[in-house]
Amino acid sequence: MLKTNHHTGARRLGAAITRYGARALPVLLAGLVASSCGDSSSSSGNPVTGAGPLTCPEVVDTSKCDANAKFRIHVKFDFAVTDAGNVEVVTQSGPYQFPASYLDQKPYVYLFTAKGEIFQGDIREALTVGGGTMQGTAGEITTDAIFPAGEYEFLTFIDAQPGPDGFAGPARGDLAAFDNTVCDPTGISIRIAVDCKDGELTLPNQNWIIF
Amino acid sequence: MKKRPLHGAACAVIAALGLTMAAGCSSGDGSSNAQPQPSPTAAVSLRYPQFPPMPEPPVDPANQPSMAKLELGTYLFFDPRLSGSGRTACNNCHVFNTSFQDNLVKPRPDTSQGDDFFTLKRNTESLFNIVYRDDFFRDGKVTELAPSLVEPWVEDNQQLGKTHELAADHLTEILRGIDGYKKLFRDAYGLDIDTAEPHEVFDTAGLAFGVWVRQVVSRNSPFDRWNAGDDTAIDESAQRGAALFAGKAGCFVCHTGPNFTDNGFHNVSSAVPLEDGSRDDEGRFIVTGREADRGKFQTPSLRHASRTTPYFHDGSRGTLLDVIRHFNDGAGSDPNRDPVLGRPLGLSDDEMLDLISFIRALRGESVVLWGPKSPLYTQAEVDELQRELLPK
Repeated sequence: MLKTNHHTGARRLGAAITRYGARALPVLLAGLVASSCGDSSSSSGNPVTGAGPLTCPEVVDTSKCDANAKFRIHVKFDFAVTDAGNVEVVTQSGPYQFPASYLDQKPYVYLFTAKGEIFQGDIREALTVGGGTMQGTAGEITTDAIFPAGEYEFLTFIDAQPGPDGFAGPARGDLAAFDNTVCDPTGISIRIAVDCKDGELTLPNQNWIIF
Repeated sequence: MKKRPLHGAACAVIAALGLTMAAGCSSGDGSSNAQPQPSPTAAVSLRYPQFPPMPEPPVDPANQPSMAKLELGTYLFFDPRLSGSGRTACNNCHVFNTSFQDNLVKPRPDTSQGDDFFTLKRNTESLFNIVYRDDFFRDGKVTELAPSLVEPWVEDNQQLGKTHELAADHLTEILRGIDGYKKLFRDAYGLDIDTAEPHEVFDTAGLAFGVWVRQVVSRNSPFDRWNAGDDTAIDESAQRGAALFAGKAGCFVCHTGPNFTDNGFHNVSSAVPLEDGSRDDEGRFIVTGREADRGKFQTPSLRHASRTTPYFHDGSRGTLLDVIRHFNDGAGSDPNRDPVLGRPLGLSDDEMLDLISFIRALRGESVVLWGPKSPLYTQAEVDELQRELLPK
């Protein structure tokens, strides 16, 4: 089992917050990334409406679920390694490779928020927060069973390089996960559906950008 | 009043929007520009008449919108070939489905600039509502819309050339080699790019962008609906935030009018000057050379700002709470700080969160963009878009 902390609720910020300081997480997670990363024609997730309010289709039919049921979310960081021993991720202007060893033992932090919400500093908006340590090129998170059926945003950040103040925010060489292919993406998170069962999320290389 | 005690640990700093609070911002260089005129319906008994709804996007009489121009602008915006490396489109930084910005602290420019993680100097601005502006870029270095939109081709962003002349030559060379652009330019502007001077091609591309960017408008927000009388459009926290915004917090002094900006330039002391008194980025001073303009940047619109983290010209504040706390704490110590700043605002944690709720309520309807090769648009939607875009 990989080292992971997960804590629920604003009053239990968890070891990650304790370790990195109260101010770190908001700054970190709000500084994540949005980028089409060179795929200029990608428009999946673009709302299919005419002029007028955006309406994203509901992915989860919550009426089919037990209204009182709460589910876990499992997340795996799944970086593929090339034959040359490198990990390729995206940057704003194209792919970038680094040695796979670069990720090993690097800390990461994460939080979950409501669908469509960008974290704006009030930690109580986080449904759960936590952190862990990369084992090689893998990371794994399992939350408590706290999520009713629905959609959520997962924000995460790998602190691969110390910032100017130690761990003060996204610094050159850090990584963050994003997915702009969903309807009305936040630009700084991965959307996950919890559909009457535990949610599963795997983040391959293309979901990661390096600063 | 609903109590929402802020967790002490969550009281992170503030960041960026240039939320200028307190009693009244000076107009900086005196260039507090004219506001866009509200639509006729705006006068109808608004709760906050100083924040009327956004009007229709202005039309350049010399560049009347057409579908051909829109189509050309669309292709240019999404085309990564129009860059030094051949893979950096406008959309790489001004990402069309994330509020036309990148959520990065600072963007990483075209790789033709090298592969050493060099970043640009300033945080990427959202393109939302720039069509209403008089000055472009954070320092206002360009004063016309169309030229501002091709400027990234001369900068490290896309780097087609170090000068306008070189960039125009390079752009024209690329466009002449791509099937389709000849017809697009001809249909839109009657321009034959094979025979036209490079500067004509360059300037015409800017005009096409100028039509395209008329789509990129944030309006019809929940606040606008509430402001016009819909009691249920925003929650109580956002309503309290509106009152704070227009009162105690003083944000309205600079963030005013339909676009929540005075279009002026202000030093909000977001970055601490260096030991010698200089700044990493002198902002407006770079354009005007006036000492009084050191460290000043244009007041950003707050519409859609809740989605454009991080904030300030240098992306130095990660959340809206960071930004608000900056002003609540007295707004830094830059000796050229706007004189209306500097005193603590006395906002409680609850009040700061109410302000965030209010700013979230300024997020307008999402833009439906007509992208090239998009399978997501039907002809009916394009027709509807056409009706929306073309002048009434």
